[in-house]
Amino acid sequence: MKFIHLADVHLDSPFRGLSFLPSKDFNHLRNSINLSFSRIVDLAIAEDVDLVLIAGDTFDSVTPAIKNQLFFKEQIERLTNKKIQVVMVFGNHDYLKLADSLIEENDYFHLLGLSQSVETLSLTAKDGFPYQVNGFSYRQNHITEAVKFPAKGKLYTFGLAHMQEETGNASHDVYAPFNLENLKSLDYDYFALGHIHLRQVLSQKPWIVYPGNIQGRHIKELDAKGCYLGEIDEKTHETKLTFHKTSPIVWKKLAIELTKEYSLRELESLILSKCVENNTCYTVTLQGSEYLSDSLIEAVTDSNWWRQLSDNLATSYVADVRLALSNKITLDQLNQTAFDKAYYQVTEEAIGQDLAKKSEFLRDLLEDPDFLKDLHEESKLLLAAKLRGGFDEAN
Amino acid sequence: MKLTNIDIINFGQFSDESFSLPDGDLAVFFGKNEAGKSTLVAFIKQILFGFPTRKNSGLYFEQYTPLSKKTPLGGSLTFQDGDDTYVLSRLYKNGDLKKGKATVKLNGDEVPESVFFDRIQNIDGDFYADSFMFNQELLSKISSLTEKDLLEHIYYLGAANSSEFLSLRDEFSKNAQAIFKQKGKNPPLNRVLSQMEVESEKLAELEAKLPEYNQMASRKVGITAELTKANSQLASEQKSLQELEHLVELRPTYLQLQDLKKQYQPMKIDLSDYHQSEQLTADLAKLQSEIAQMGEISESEILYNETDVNQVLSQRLKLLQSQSQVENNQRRVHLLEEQNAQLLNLDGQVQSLAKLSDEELADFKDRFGKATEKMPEIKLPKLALVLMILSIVAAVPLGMFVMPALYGIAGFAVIFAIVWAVQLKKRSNALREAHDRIDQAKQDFTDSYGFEAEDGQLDHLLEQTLKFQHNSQEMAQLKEQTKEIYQELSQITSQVATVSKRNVGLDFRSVLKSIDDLEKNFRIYQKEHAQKIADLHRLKQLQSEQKAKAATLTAIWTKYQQADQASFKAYYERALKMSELKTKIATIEQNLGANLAKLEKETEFDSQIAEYQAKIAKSRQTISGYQEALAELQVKLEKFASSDDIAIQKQAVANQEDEARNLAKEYLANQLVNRWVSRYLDLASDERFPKMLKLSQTYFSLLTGHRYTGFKLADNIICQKADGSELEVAYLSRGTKEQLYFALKLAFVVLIREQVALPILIDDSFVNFDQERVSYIKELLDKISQEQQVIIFTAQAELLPISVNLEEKD
Repeated sequence: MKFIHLADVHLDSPFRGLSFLPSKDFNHLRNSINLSFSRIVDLAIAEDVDLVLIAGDTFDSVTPAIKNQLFFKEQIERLTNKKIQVVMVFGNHDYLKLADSLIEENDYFHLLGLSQSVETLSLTAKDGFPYQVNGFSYRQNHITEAVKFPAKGKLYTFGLAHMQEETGNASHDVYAPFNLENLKSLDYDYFALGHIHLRQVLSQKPWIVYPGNIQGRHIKELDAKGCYLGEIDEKTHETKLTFHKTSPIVWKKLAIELTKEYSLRELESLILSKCVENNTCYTVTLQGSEYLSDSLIEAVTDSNWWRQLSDNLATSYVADVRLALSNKITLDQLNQTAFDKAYYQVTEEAIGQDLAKKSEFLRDLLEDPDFLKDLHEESKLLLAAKLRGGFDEAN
Repeated sequence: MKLTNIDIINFGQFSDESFSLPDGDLAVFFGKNEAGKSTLVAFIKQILFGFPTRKNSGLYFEQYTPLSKKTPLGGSLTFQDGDDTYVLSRLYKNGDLKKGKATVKLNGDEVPESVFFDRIQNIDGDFYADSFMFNQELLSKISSLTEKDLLEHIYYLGAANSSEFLSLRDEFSKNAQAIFKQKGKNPPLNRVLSQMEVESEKLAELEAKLPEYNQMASRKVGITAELTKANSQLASEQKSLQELEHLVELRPTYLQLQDLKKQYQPMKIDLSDYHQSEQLTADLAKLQSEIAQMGEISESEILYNETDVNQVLSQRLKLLQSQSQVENNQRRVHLLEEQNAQLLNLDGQVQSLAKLSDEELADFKDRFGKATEKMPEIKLPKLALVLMILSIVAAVPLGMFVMPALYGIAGFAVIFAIVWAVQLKKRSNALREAHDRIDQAKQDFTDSYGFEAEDGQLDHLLEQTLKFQHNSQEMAQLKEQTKEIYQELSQITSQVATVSKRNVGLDFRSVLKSIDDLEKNFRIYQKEHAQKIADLHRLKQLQSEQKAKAATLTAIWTKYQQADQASFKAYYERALKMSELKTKIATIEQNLGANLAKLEKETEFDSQIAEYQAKIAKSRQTISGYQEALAELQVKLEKFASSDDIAIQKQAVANQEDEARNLAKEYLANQLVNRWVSRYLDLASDERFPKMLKLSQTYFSLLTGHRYTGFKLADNIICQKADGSELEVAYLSRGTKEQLYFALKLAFVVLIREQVALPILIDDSFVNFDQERVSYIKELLDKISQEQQVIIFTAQAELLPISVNLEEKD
């Protein structure tokens, strides 16, 4: 028996940090999610799989655009027309009301656990191999309690859920937090998870797998994206897993170490010489921004320049250029100790109060570790620029 | 560390000047205005930290740029640090760095700059100026500060470059404020946030519209059903209207039908009757003409008895045969006569022989046979000869095989020769007897018949004789036969004459011709006779047929009460017309079908038509309404289905979010840096702050002649008076304020003297101090200088014991 496991399609999802691109390119990128999804469907048909598991967040919101609902329906029909079973759960993004949507279940397309508790579905592969899928869907955006899964039966058993491993922090544990050891102890043959966009295998025996999302949409969703194709030995229930890349566009980080002063033109050719892959969105970090003058910093952090760089690449883009310091900020020796202390004492959390009050978006932002990391880098750069401008000759 | 010597090569008004400082830690330079006090202060600061460049112009003492254009500019400072002696020189020549080239000598040996600067914790000129130098400008600046500024200045006094960091901090704060204000509207982040709300609302609106798709889809189903209903209603209305219009169209036909029905009278006629009557009439006419043509026919006269005629005619062949027989007989007789004559001519003996009877002739033959018998010949007996030869032949082999047998053979040969001789004798006797007998017979014959019997003559003679006899016989028969034939002819001739009723010659030709004529006449008669009988029969038949048909015709007429065919024909034609009418009526009725009943019932259609037309118009309107609604829905549905609105709006929100994120990041980065700097300032001062506070309180009390016992820091600085009352800084006199700051700053320097062992420079700071206060300062400086070098530059000679009199130098 063969199956495909995918998750976090996020149809309708916007792309981040690319709005500076010409709309033609931008639309091309935006369509890549749908393309990736249809490629997974192509794969399922080509491999003649028995089952496709979709582990939540197929849509980016509970109110998906009709166009994408129709697209989804069409793609699912391609599968069900081939008598491929499709089992899907809703995640924290797409817990939509069926009545308001165009999505309909049928003999081959099943939505599992719509009452937000685990439902068991017993199916058979085309060759008669029986298996069951245990899974649940979201009915609201948060599930704060761990969801209880039934014990494994005799049949080959799939778990299908959109959930996150518990962190111990109650404010974060709102996506059906699970304890990995508990999940392992269920000993399901294959636990198909969704929610975490980074592809990762939490456990091999038994299989507990996040396939990641199917198309990177911003700097944080790096590298090849796609789905897992599983092949089950029906006698031993052993399962082999292969990842299939379907994302038309790949996000990649590019770190460039600066070792001397550069002209803008030199920087341009330096970066372009490193952007060798096709269909790639590069985010470039210039390590050693100390070597860049103020005007150069201004030029390279301007998205117009990124667009100009992108124009030189056939199918790839430079989506971002950011700066990083090679060394830490130095002051007079007398005050370095004090500064270092201050640097470690003043945390980002302490400064966002006024913003947090202003909007939920900002509140969420202030809880986003990535944002805080960015902020930290930015702050360092800011101070370094000032210190260099005003203080360096004192040394 | 203690400054012991100041050596100036060129600086300001000084050129090649040296000052040695007294042993104690308090050094007082005296000089009136323009004596070079401030130049010396600047010299010390600039030799330590470099000559001012445009960039590196400190906040204070900027005016002490080197006045002299002479080079090299600069000089050296000598510090005693325990047992070590540092000489720090700084010179500027053309081509050097603006800040001058520093060299450090430790105990006479040149060492790297850092050896000295590490000793003073690498502080910079600003830090030194900020912390260790006191002058009028600074004090007056203090007095112009607001309470808050003062507080901050005091608060952060411990931090190196505190002023710069403070302004940096403020700059970051300002930058942050420029990006976002809690209650602002215009800063970019505020704007983006509100824009974000707008875009999010738009998105929410778009998303709220999504259920409309399903609603519209189901409405489409509903309207489609209504449309189908309306369409079928329209169809039925159109059908009704068509029917009505059709009835209107049919009305003339219907009227025609009514007319035809009026014309119609039912008439009975059997068409076959009429056709029969027509046929009969025609037949009768034909019969009539045929009968007329035949005229009167009489009975036929019987001229010949057919049997007799046939009998006569049957004789003809016989006659012909007889005729030919007679002719043949005559020719035969003639031929036979000739033959016999010829026979006689040839052999006269035939005539005699011909007269013999049969017995005589048999005797003749016998005697002729004997007379012509052959003489027998002598012949060797054949058997004896054979035996002899065989004996000889057999004797040879016998002799060969058995010699004695040879003699046997010879014996055999002798036997045979004897047998043969005996036989030969017997035969010659018989032969002589036969010859005698034959000669006798020949003689007899010649005697009897007159001629000699010759061998071979007899057959011919007999044959000739027989033939002669035959011929004579045949001739007699033929003559007899001919005679009989003529008898027969005579009979037939009379018969022919009787039958043909003519005279007939008694010869074959005449009779035969008469028979031929008879036959010919009889044939003619026979034919005519038959014709006559047939005609008569035919006439009778026609007449009978005529009678029968006339009767039938009359019967038909009678059936239809008609007198003759003409009237019957008229009747028939009328009936035919009625039949046509009937057919026509039936056809029309059939064509009208179900409409007939309606046509019979309704006479007025116009109002109904108008009614249906109105209904149809209304239905059409309804339908077009539905169709429009459907088309509109379809367009909307398609628009929905193909719409990127949500995606675009989501992207717009995302873009706003990105922008907000970036701005928030920028804002927070500025805030963070601001906090770092603040915190840095806190930390840098905090360590010594309590100590500094305590010390400065002592100093403050001292400086104020104990009118103030100290101060405390809360949100504001509260000064505590000796009488127990408290006074906020804002209410202090300018002098007291300066004393407060003086006290704080001194305390700070004292506290960091271990780390940064540099002299305190006081440049005529006591201008505004009255005598009483000056005495307090003196007391304080005495106290401080016990632990730290204090160098005072003053124009007030009475203040302290003068170490160096600049006036005197000049």
